[in-house]
Amino acid sequence: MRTTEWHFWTIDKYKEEEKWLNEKSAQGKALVYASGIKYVFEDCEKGEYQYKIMFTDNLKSEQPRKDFESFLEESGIETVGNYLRWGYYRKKNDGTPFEMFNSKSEELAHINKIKNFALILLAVISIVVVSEIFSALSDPHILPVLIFNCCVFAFVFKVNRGIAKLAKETRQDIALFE
Amino acid sequence: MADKNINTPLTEAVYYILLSVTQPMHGYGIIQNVKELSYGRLILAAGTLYGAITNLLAKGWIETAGEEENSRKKEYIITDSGLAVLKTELARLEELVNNGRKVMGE
Repeated sequence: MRTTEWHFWTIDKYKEEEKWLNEKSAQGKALVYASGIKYVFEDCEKGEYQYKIMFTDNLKSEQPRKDFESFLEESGIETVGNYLRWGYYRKKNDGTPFEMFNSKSEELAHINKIKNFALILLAVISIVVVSEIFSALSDPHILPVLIFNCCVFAFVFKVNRGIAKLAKETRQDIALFE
Repeated sequence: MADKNINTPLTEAVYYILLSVTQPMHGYGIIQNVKELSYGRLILAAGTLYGAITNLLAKGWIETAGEEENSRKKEYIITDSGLAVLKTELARLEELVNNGRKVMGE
């Protein structure tokens, strides 16, 4: 049976999103389709699959993405779907942990890619917010515009802080263990 | 003679990948081979292997073997410069182990 769930995960919460998908699989619901906020699950045996989410440059163009996906397929990893530059992957649970990287430094490189993306997003949003506010200066209804734009900025800023925190924690791990 | 342009130490993943492709091998074959060589200790993660292969190809330390254009399973083989890196790394590892043995008396 197919079930659809709606959920909004920000990019700094991708590990929580991954955990959520694995919990779903443990309950017998395997993700078969993901696009932004829409998640479609199909019944499976409890804990049949392990899930992993990755932000990757390979998804920017068609050929490298296909190469990467067929490479994964060879080692028993199935691509559930792509959304923007996020890839959703799963593998049959064989009792060994499902990791994409062997080392914390690769993990950090991955997080840094997300961090750079979030920074660009923040820069763009900042420009939009500032120009919105400036153009509303002469408007008698400036207050709602001001509040709305500040909220947007605060939200994107919070996502940036979240991802920076993740990078910092990973750097600390590297200092201790590698 | 050690080439000064060669960057060692290698990561253990890269070392074992280079050792594996001294004969033509595809991605999953490398994972299996490294697992065997390390007695099950090192299981290469797919993202790590993919990244390493991409970088090794760019450095010219490995190349794709055979001309099966449409084959999904690409095989890789070490190049002469890859072999040189591997030799340098082996010498370095030997030094580490020999000194360890001397001190520890084993």
